[in-house]
Amino acid sequence: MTQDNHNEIDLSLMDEIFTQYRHQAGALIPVLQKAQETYGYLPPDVLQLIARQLKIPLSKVYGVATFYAQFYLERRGRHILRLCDGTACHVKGTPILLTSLEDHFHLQPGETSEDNELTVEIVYCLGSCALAPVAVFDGKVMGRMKQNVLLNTIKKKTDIN
Amino acid sequence: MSGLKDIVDGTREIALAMGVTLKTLITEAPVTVEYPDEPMAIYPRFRGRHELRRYENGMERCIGCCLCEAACPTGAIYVEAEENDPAKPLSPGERHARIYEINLLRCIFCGDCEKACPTEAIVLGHIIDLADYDRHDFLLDKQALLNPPTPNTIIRPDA
Amino acid sequence: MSDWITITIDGKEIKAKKGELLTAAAKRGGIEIPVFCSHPKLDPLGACRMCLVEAETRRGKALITACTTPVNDGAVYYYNSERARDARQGTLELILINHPLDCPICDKGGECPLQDQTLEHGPGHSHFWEEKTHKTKHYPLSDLIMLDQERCIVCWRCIRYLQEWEDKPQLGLFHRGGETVIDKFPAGKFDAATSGSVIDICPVGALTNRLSRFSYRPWELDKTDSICTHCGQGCNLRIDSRSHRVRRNVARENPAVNDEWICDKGRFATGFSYHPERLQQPLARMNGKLEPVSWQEAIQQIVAGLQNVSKEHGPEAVGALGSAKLSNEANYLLGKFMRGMVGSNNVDYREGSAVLADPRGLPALGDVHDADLIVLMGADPSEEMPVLANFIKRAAKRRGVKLIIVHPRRIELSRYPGIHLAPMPGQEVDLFDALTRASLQAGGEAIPGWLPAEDGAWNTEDVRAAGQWLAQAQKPFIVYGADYAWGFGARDIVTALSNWAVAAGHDDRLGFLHAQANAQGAGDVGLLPNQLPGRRPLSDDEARSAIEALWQTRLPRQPGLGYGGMMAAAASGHLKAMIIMGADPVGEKPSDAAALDKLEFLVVQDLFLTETAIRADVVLPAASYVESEGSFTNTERRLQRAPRAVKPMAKSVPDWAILMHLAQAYWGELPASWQTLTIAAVFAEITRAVPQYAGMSWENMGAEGRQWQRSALEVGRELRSHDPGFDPTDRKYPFHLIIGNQLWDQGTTFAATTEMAHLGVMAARLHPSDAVRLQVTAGDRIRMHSGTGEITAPVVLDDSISPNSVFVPFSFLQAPVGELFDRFGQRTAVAISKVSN
Repeated sequence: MTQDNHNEIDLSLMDEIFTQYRHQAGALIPVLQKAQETYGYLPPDVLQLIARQLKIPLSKVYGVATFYAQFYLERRGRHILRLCDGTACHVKGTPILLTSLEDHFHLQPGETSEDNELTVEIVYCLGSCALAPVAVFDGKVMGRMKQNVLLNTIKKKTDIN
Repeated sequence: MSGLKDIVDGTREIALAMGVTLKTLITEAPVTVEYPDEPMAIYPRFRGRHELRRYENGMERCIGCCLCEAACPTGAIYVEAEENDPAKPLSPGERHARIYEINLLRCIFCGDCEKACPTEAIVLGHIIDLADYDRHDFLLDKQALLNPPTPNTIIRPDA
Repeated sequence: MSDWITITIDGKEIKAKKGELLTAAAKRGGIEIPVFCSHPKLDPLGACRMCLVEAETRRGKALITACTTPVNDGAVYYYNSERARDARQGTLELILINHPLDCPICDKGGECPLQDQTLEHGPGHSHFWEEKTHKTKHYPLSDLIMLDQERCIVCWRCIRYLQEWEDKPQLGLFHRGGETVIDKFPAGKFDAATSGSVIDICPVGALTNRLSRFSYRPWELDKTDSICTHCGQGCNLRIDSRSHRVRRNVARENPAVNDEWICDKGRFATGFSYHPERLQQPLARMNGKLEPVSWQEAIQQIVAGLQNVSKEHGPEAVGALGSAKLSNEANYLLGKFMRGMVGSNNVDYREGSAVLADPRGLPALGDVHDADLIVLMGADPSEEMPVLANFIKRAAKRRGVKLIIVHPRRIELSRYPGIHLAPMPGQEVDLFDALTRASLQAGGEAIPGWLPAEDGAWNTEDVRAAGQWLAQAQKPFIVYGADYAWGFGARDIVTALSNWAVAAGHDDRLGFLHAQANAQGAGDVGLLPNQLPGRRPLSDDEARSAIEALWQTRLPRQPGLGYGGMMAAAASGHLKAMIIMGADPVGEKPSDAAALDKLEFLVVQDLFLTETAIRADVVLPAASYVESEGSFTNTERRLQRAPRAVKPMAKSVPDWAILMHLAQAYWGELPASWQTLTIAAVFAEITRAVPQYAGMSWENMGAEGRQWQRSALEVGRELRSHDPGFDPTDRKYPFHLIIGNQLWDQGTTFAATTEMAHLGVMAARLHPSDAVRLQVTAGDRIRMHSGTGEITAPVVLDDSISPNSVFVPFSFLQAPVGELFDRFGQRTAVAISKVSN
């Protein structure tokens, strides 16, 4: 996953994707997926480029990108923390974890830290209720999460201030 | 002989009747109201001069929807709406009445405007002395309606 | 009758057309199936589920969407069954879960399909008491259209309109489920020229008119079926007014003219009729200043002024200008007054004798719907006639019709497949000669000797293909526009392009696109210096005696002066008095002011105190077209009524009525031949003066207008030789001047709609490569000067402009392009320099 911290986006990275899908009809969703793999999210310039290249109205491209939860239209952090707030986790203290994230990193669910290090998301049930409360940090599931463990993990694995 | 009997009976009947008068004169208060020196008693649901109401925070209730105008059977109401200036809204929401006029000479005080109003802005109040010297004075504009001489806060339960 | 089949709805047999949709078939049988997403002019979609009915299928009864189901013979449907009713009720309840109950402040309230259908089919209650979803309520999509996302019921109509008709898919549905919103791409544009149509077709109050917002409730409007007079298409619309003020315009269906659409200019530009700067009363010059006077006084002054000039210098010292924006009646009576009473043939209008239009205009607008090739020469429908442009887009997109565009700019329509040829001004004839040759060759016909040799600059693959396409087309739609029909060299261009049509065997399909509402009609009724009513030449003795008998007067025989001739004669002192009705020569070309200042007497009747009017001796306040009655003849010769919608502002009077008063005062009393006191009577007289209009009457024009027969006027076309082209540029003046109409301009009536005045980008347009060469950037001011004049304007970089040329729009107050016209007319060349700040 390549990511740049500049606001400028290197659109030439899309060339390869377009070459791959040029002759394939209905390739919008795979192209969007590849683009998201490349940039981490779908910047407006990329959506416009996709619309132009695939000759699909921009309004339709944007409609598809907003329809599916898998696509992100805003820049996401280098690291992603998912906290479960399903019934079991909620009862077992996810709200406390959220408060501590807010206190320490000024991050609310759905937000990305200013230095692009961390994105916090809420999910509803990961199917591991026995381990409640559950956090998933960069794809790794961590059960029975406690405040200090969570904060330490974040501090250790990210460069967040 | 019957003539004498008539006189006696008649006198008795008159005396009885005058007795009732005398009794009422002494025991009951007069019912005539010395209007306008004395105030008239007005029933709560009486429909007099209209007024436009405000919310407690001073906002106008009227949103200029013109439903009163549509309901009015005599065409006595004229409303022109306008968009609120977001910085200085006159009413909650996006819309208020720029012009609101009621022609009292046309109004038949039926209260349909009140029934039609979705925000209970227009109500018929308790002012009944509506005589005037100039025809133009019977045209109530928005300011006159918003600032009635005696505000009426009664909302009719069936309104 | 094989096309007719029988279906059964609720046990009732209904005759239906084979293949039509169940909604349409049911309607014919008297059953109105409720719909939201379905619209007769849009493709079926089946998104809202409001039209659910039960159908008998092989697997038993099933719910289907009536709006997407083509009927089959013998099919059985149940509209009123309990299950169908339940389904529709449930759909409505679902739609209403998140629909806000702000009907009292919604502009749609009172004419809202959702309200009506809730009343008729709704459950009357809701299972939901939770807070409704909140979305953006006050969302201006553009300067003209307001969006309320909460009210949207996701029917896709607006999105489909923009896709299917405008081919500008700027709106989309974003997100999912209850959070779905209609929106444009963030920071995207919403600028289609007919974007307002989405207001008409929105079944709820989600898309509303921002200019007329909150200024009416539908039930209190006075509705007048009328037409639009902003361009020559003559789209049908309805003027909705209240207390004698126009509140809004909505489209009216007329399949032959505008289908069901109008452009944003026609819809939103209504402000001119109640503009506070409208003339309120007559003005007359007293001690050098224009002072208010009574109508009687004004008319007396005019009569005295005109009679003085006529007596001293002869009637030919008097001239009159009418207007292609005014009705047939006004222009007819102006011609009748000038010829019959004053005795002068000096009558014209801006688009009149100077424009070499086909006197029959366009064969028919509807031809575009089944054309197999579209040829546009010097016309830009996207800016001049947006609704026609939509028809062309649809033909190109849906039926794959190719476009041949001959235009110096890459106009919007050139994005469709076809051929774009961009001759610079002066070179047009060479291109048309090459096309003529190509078409003749394709048809295997002899090449006349006067056609220039084949080795010209236009000996290209594209030209050969275009010539071949036209020669092989069966039903081409061929139009040329005003750009190629007036000014220096226009006669040669029109001859050359007619040659092409003749060579391809389609001369009967060649038509002219009038940009002005009544440019066709003003000529038909005879407001031309060399023609009598009915487009008959002045020398036609039979026509002359017919008109003389009708008007009971003698007509002058000497051909009069045209628009340009009158201006020149005024400047040289030969023309002494003028009546100018609804025209503003000075506004278009400020240097003409000197000519008008030399006149002894000038009368102007107009809506506003224009640059021309401030020079007048008497100014008469005219009523606008919404305040007066009149008929207009559009570019396909269709006569349509524009009845009075509101009463005239202040003391203004309709133009035709002003002329009646003038005639009465001029003659001392109203002569017998002028006893036409109503618009219907004036029109009746016109039908007797103009043979093509025979048989029509004010009443029988009807709601959809009446077209006069193209065959009533013969125009003989044959291959004709002409003068060669030219190149106006040289080292001193290296840039070609390209002019043209812009939809959002600064014309009188449009500029007076103040809310829209900022919409147009009024600027000179340059190709980026030229900008680099001239070292100018967007926003700089440039000075353009030709041999005769100069103008300055801000610059916009635009790669649709050809290199070595500069585009300046008409009706540009800051930069009146008329100043640049020189010995090459508008086909001139200019030098450009940057204006230093």
